[in-house]
Amino acid sequence: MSENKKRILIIEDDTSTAELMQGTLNKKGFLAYSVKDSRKALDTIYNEPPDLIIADIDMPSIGGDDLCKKLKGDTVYGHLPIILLIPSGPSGSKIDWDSIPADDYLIKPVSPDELNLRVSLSFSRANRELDANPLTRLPGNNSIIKEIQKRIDAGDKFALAYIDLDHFKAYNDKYGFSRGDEILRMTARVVTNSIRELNRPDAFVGHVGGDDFVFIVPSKLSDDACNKIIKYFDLIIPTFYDEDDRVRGYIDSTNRKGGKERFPLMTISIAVVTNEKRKIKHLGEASAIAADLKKHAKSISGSVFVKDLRGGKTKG
Amino acid sequence: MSIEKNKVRRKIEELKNLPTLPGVIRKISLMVESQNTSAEEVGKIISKDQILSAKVLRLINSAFYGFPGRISSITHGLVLLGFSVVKGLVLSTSIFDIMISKGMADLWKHSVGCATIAGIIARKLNQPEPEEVSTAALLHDFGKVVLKLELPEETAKAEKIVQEKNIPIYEAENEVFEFTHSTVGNWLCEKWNLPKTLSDPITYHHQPSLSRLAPRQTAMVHLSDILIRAKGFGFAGDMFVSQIDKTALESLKITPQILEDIIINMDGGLEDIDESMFSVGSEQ
Repeated sequence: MSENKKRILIIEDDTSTAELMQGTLNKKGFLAYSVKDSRKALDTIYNEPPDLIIADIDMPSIGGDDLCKKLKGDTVYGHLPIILLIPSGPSGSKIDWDSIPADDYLIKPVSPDELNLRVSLSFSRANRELDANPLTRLPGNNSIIKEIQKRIDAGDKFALAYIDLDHFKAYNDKYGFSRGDEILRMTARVVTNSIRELNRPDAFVGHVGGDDFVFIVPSKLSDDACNKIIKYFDLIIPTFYDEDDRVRGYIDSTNRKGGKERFPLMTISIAVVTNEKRKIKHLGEASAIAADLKKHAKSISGSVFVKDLRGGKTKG
Repeated sequence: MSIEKNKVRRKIEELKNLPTLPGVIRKISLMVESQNTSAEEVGKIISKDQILSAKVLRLINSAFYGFPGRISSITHGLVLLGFSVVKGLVLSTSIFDIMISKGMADLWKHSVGCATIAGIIARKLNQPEPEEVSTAALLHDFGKVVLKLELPEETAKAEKIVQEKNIPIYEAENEVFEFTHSTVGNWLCEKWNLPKTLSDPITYHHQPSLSRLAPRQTAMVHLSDILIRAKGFGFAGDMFVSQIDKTALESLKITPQILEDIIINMDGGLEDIDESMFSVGSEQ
């Protein structure tokens, strides 16, 4: 069994279809495996993460469409390409793709040639999705810009929050880049899960790069979101330090001038810009306001969020 | 009589399906399906079930999430996995069949009791992360569950030897397998990238002085295991209450007065355990 083989999980209750696909894909050099019971599929995905999933839309218990919704909503699993198997004829042609976030489909009965083509296309399309941050798989700058503009155009009342970590550089310098990357992945999980707990389909989380993250929520919910993120971040961050540093409560590291300095454990700063009391016409305006707020947030020690409270047309 | 150790190790490391007690799953499925359940409430139940706790820790410490070996707390694991992944994890967990359930219920009681006492000890001694110690205690006999599932015949043999020769279960396991449930726990901790603060207590709870990387946590789990056995709460495979390791007591600086305080607090803690979790039938 080669480690480099792409792994494909087939979720299909019909044994002959599953075997046909498995055989075809294995012959092509993939490592295909299958589960019959879709309730067990999540367990399999968690235990043996695949690179691509093929799921039948019609199954007893959980159908491929529901599984698709579940997985695509998650930062870690959301990037997995999913191909849905759909029935031929009228019921298949009524599928509403706006409500099912699948990547592609195959009509049953499956032809081996088409299966191979669809699978290779899905893989190459996934590679082209370069906007996502490679470390956290969160949407990157292009998507962030689009999301903000979308809300400005729609005239929604939204809050745009810029997050960054305090003393991240000191941690990186002391523990090294790979430990630093762990912090960024952890932060991505904390932010996304906190935002997801709000249960709003219109909420958005993006990763600008480095220790800079962004989220957008309806303006009324921004305090709630910030408080959650701060609570979870402060709860978990100490475990990412070595025990002696954690007990001491600080690390000795180098500052930006190259000198030795004592740094407290990392905290999180959030600057929130809203269009509740003032108009925001474009992203540039929002980020200028955010930059000021961020400076203010960073000047306060500990994890905090600072909100833009200036109303009307007041500027500066 | 013995079986090839490496072969068994490989078999156990590839373990995929980890069922739990029907009572736990029933309780938690109802919670998860209700709209108003908070992550904290689900977390509370998960942290009383060794299988679900192990699954949470295994998943969040897997390479896939990008910070292997860092998370030892169920609470942190739940925050980082997110409610929807936790739901999926719980709902896709199967249950033991009824015969195995019956044999497991008392072991579950032993583990939850041990976790409760470990939490009491850790707080009494001002341990910085008391939850970590109770999690380690909850999982300390995890190897026994796995042995029962994967090598049921041999395990039954070991249980019979306990009766016949009147020896502790780990000695009987040693006779049958040439390793013990602690060894099995250690294999899985390594395979699943669990932090040393969990794997050391799981591996060395019978010989706490061997722990190099988490001696305090290991000593606390060792002590809880003995206290819960002495209390007669649940059943861990034999009726023995072994001697408390002297160096463990000394390293924790536990005076007879502190020990007495702990024992007094035990009863209250154990009364709070919801025993409906250990029900084995499929009836309501």
